[in-house]
This record gives sequence, C-alpha cells and structure tokens, in this order.
Amino acid sequence: MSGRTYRVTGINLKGIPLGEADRIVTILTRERGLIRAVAKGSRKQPSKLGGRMEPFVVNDLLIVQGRWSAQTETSQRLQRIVQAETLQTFPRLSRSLAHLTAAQYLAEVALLLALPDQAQEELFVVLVEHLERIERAASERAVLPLLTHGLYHLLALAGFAPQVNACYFCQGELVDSVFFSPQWGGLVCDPCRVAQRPGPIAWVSASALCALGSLPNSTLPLPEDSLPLAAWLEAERLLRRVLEHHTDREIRSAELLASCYAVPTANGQGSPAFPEGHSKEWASA
Amino acid sequence: MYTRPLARLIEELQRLPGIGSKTAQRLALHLINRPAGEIEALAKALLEAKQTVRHCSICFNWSAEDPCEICRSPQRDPSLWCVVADVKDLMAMERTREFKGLYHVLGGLISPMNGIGVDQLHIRELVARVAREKPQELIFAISPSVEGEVTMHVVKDYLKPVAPTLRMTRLAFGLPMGSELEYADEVTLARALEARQEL
Ligand SMILES: [Zn+2]
Ligand SMILES: [Zn+2]
Repeated sequence: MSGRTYRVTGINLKGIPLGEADRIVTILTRERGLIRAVAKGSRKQPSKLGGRMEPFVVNDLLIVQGRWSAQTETSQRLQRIVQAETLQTFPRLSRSLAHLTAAQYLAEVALLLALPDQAQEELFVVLVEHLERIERAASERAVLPLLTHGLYHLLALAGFAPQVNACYFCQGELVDSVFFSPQWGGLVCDPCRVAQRPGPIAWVSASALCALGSLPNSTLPLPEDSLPLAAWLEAERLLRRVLEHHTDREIRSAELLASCYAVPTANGQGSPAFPEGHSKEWASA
Repeated sequence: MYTRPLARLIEELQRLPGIGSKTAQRLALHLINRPAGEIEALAKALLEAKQTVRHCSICFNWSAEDPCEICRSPQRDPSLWCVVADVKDLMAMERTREFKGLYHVLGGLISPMNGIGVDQLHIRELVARVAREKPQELIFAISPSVEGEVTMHVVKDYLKPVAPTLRMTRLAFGLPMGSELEYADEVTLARALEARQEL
C-alpha cells in the first residue's frame, strides 16, 4: 500500500480489534477532525505502536492514505498509521471507575460532535484540557462537577450551550419554580412555562440551578464539593438531554455514572449513595 | 455471481471476526472442494461444541462438563486463584505450565463507553466465591490498559470488605522479552519504570 502521507496530532478516543493483531483507532486530530486509521500489529508483542494506540494517548502521527482500486469496498479503504510519537498520556484516568467513566463520557461526546476530515483545533484543545482536569481530580466526588463542566464546554463549542443564567424566553431573573427545556435550550421561568408551553420540561432543584449557573465560567468558581452530588447529577442529566435532542444519540457511559457513586458494602452489593428517580419529573407542559 | 448456496456460505463465513469478503470467498471455495466426510465432521464438531460447551458455574471457563476440568482437578492448589478477563487469557496462562492454582474469568473488562460495568461482568460471583472458599491469594493477570487498570481497582474494592486479609497481586508488567529498549513505546516504558524491581 503506497500512497500519500500526512502528519497530524491527535488523541485516541476508541479502538476496535481488527483481525489477529491489528486495531482500528478513532482519533480526534487538531488538523483534520476525526479520522480512523489502522494500527498494524498494535495488539501483538513486541510492537512499536503498542501502548501508543491505547485510548487517551496523544501522538504525533504519520499516516499513509492507501491507493485503492475502484472495486475496493469502502470498509476496506482504511488509512494506516506508519509512525507515532507520544506527546501526552493520562495514566491516572485509570485510578477509579468514576475517572474512567467521565473520560469515556467526554470521549463519546467528542465523537458525536466531531466532524470527519475538518480542522477542529478548539474541540481537540477543549477535550484535552478537560481530560487533564478530570485526571487531576483527587477524589471520585470531584470528578462529577468536572465532567459536567466539560460537557457544557463541548456543547458550547458545537453551538448547543443552553441558557443557564436567565429565562430563555423573557431573559428574566429566575425565582421560585424554575424549569429546563432541552428543546428550547435552557432554563424557563414559571410564567413563561405557562405562556409558551415549550414541550417536555423538567423542574430544576435550587442546588442544580446553582450548579448550572456556574458552568459558563472557564473554571468552576465553587469549591467542587460545596454542592451535593445529586445537584451535579441533575445538571449532567439536563445537559445530556440537550445533547440527545441535537444529535439524536445516547451516551452509553452515562448509564454507569450513577453506579460510580455507589458504595460497596460488606455483602458486595453496591448501593447508590442517593436515590436515582427523577425520571417522573419530565412532564409535558 | 455465485450460485445461491455458495453465496450463503460466503455470507455466513464473512460474519466471523477477522474475515473479510476475500477470505470468506477463498474459504468457501476451499470447503466446497473437500470430501463430503470432512465437511460433515466439521459441521458436527460445530454443532456439538455449540450444544455441549457451557460456562463452568464456578470459574466461568468454557467447559463441556460442570464444574470444568480445572475446578475438579485434585492437583490444583485451591488457595491460589488467577483472575483473568477472558478464556483466551486463561489459555495463555495454562500454556506457561507454571500456574497450578484455580481461575476466575471475569468475562471482559469494564468499559463505560461500551456499556460494560460491574453488572455485565462476573464480579459479584467472584466476591461470593471468595467469601465462600477463602483463598489466600488472587493473582490478577489482566492487560495493563486503562480499562484493565480500572477493572482491577474495582474488583479490589469489592473484595476488600469480604476478605480483608486476602493477598492480591498483579502480574509485573514491563518490556516484552526480546524487545529493544530504544524501540519501546513511551507508555510501556513508563509502566516498566513504575514496576521496577530490586536487582
Ligand atoms: Zn421567562
Ligand atoms: Zn471451572
């Protein structure tokens, strides 16, 4: 396979096995957005690609685009990684289930929002920055606010950031009962909810309102543990609804999020630290 | 175009992992050239394996008998267990002929983005088994990937309350035998450094 080569810097988001010893890696690059390429021999030992093809490794890559005959099936038209030099790794993401879940969650969001073969420098930079923050989180508890913040920033980059500081309709201050509409992009005051009837809507707790309001800042101004975990889980769920509304896809890692904050007990059965049920709050206005 | 039954065979072969359309065609044409007896034996072997092979109810190894050959063997040391992600890893350990204990197969690694958490793996079964049989040591023979590391942490956290004195170890990881230092990737080299040993 001889063909044109190019150089990119990218972070591995996903790998799937191919044949006996290879894998196909999905990489978010600075220069070309999302690419998929074959890492030959990377599941074999010894391999010069090996560890560099693990998820969450940032590499300088040399990639060769194959030349294909017209009959080659699209699925076989894969480009190949010929060289990789590692710039950054995130080894401490493996220190807890919460750290890994949050990192894979943001990777999934980036996979949904990234465009193939288009420069997306900002998406790359924002994702790496939030992965660094999650990696530095000292406790599992501190991971959840950082994940929610990262999700908000990725939504903002894609132009989907919901209104989190005032009513979407009247720009008015939020007092008493406050609601959230994923479809209308954010918070809705009670009078506007009655007047506008904006479809499915959720009631927002006072502490979740506080969590949401802090998200547009570049760093979280609150000490990460000043709000209850339930507030951050609620904020995360509301933002996830916005993402699902725009992309029509689900984040699989989110299913494990609640279980990350479960405490193993003597009988080995984890019990959630707080009750899950907020699903009934979604009502059609 | 292939005749209908041959096209169907190619289609079925193509579903197998690592087999593309070219390989599937080659295999199908090869099979069709073999004597009928040989093909019957292959078909019988496939069916018999599918009908008789089950997970061992103790260790989750594949076996036609339950418990499996390893769990039943009196030559095995019941105080030492090896925890692996997959039956393929169990087989790799067996090929060393160095390990004489029992196994526990988790059935994969934790991977939130693939929907695999504690409940999708045989972790709770391991906890119950440890509480019941009280081994002295568990060796984790799990690939040192991000998902492998997290899986080990989680299993350890689940086991601690039921077996506070259980010794838990992991395979040393480092440079593959026969490799040259200058060609080792940074990730592997960093892990080898972390797991350095006294000379
Ligand atoms: Zn309003
Ligand atoms: Zn067994």
